[in-house]
Amino acid sequence: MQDGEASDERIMEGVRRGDSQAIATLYDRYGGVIFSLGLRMLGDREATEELVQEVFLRAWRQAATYQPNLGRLSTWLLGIARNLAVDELRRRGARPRRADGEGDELLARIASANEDDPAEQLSITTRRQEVARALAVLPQAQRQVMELAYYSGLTQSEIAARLGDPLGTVKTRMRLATQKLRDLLHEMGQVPG
Amino acid sequence: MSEHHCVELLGGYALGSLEEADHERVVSHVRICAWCRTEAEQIADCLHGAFGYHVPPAMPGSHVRDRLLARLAEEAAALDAMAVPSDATIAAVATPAEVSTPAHDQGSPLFAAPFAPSRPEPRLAGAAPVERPDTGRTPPWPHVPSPVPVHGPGSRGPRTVRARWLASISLLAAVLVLGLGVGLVNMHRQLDNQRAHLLGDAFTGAHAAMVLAGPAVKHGMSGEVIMRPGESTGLVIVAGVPKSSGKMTYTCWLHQSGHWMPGGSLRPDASGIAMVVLGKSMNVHKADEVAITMEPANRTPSVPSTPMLLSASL
Repeated sequence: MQDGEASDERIMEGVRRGDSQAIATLYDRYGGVIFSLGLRMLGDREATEELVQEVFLRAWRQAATYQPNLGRLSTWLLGIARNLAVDELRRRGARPRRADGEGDELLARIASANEDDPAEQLSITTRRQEVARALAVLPQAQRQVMELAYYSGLTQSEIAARLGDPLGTVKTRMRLATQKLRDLLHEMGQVPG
Repeated sequence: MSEHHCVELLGGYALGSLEEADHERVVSHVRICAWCRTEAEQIADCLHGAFGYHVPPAMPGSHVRDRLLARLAEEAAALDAMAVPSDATIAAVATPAEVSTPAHDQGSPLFAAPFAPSRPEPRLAGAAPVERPDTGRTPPWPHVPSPVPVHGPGSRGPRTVRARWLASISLLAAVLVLGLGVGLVNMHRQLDNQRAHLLGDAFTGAHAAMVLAGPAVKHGMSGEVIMRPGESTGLVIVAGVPKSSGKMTYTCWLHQSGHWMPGGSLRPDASGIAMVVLGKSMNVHKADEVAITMEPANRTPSVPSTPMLLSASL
């Protein structure tokens, strides 16, 4: 993915120093991933664009707190984005809506129009495919619980109420799904064991 | 393993979806259990790596990049202004809207000025750095003196007098620098003692200290949020705090359940140390972040209105 390019760690060194080029590189590398997640959670472009800016502003302000040994840069940024999006959803008191078919098509067109770095895009596409394979292995009920928690920011009791399942069942599904997903991604070399 | 750890809850914890009681249990546990803390980090990494990528691909428009870089330039400029604090510059930091905005809509190059030019190394306030500007002249601090020409017996020509004068000046400078160094060491020791004293008084027993990080670190500010596991009080202590004008004040914020709440003002003493005790009513153990900003002294807004100078995740 990064042949001839700066590694994530080197980019973050630059961000910590306040190097403008480093933050621009960081955005170019992960802006699309962050935007995709934000749009999936918030459902509208305007709010998502604000969220993307806020994610990178926080990354810049809090660069000193990033520890590579605790996680990858991409997931650190995704974590910031997801937390901000959940805050926004709770603030709105609304739940996210999935982009409908027309929206998906529009998003795909926008994505392809911006594929100006084939190596980055290939890396991200490969990663998406591997993640999709791993998630496909999860039982539907477990996956549903995880998606409601991750994308909608629902608590376990909110999920139980939404699905009409006992709270204990939701807790069990979440625990099993977490372990299973971790094992699968570890086998794929996506995460440490 | 789960008898001692809380592995079964870490997935829900990483997702922020636990019920209150379970959340409290995990929060208390991970503060003292490095193993579970690492597990939680790895699970979070795994979940973000999976669900974060399992979304329809989309890209923001190019204007988002432009706006982001312009906002960063604004913050960098505001921080630069803070490097030499004065009433005017502190006001500029605290009111970024008033800082001149880069004309990014006019196609001007972004970051025409250095994003964050090199600044003095972080230092504690009151510890005046020993500046050594390169003036091209002989520096007024100790150095290896040039060999002094030896004159014949009884010779006390102008060059000898000048050499002795230079040696005297050098010796005096050496004493001054040595004194400054000793003073600096003493000041650090006093700071450590003060901190230990505070901790001893207010936080006997086990406590956790979260380091505050942020752009102000580059300007010499440093600090910690100190808490005892499971308790609702905390202490924020910051060193290297520049004096502010009467119009603006350093304000501590807590982020809880998606909302910001003011935690009090930080008023630096003569040595640049400021602290604020977060009382029981603040329920610090329920907060997920602490931040410090500058706010108008006569009116604390309901949410932070200026860029975070320092922050820490709890």
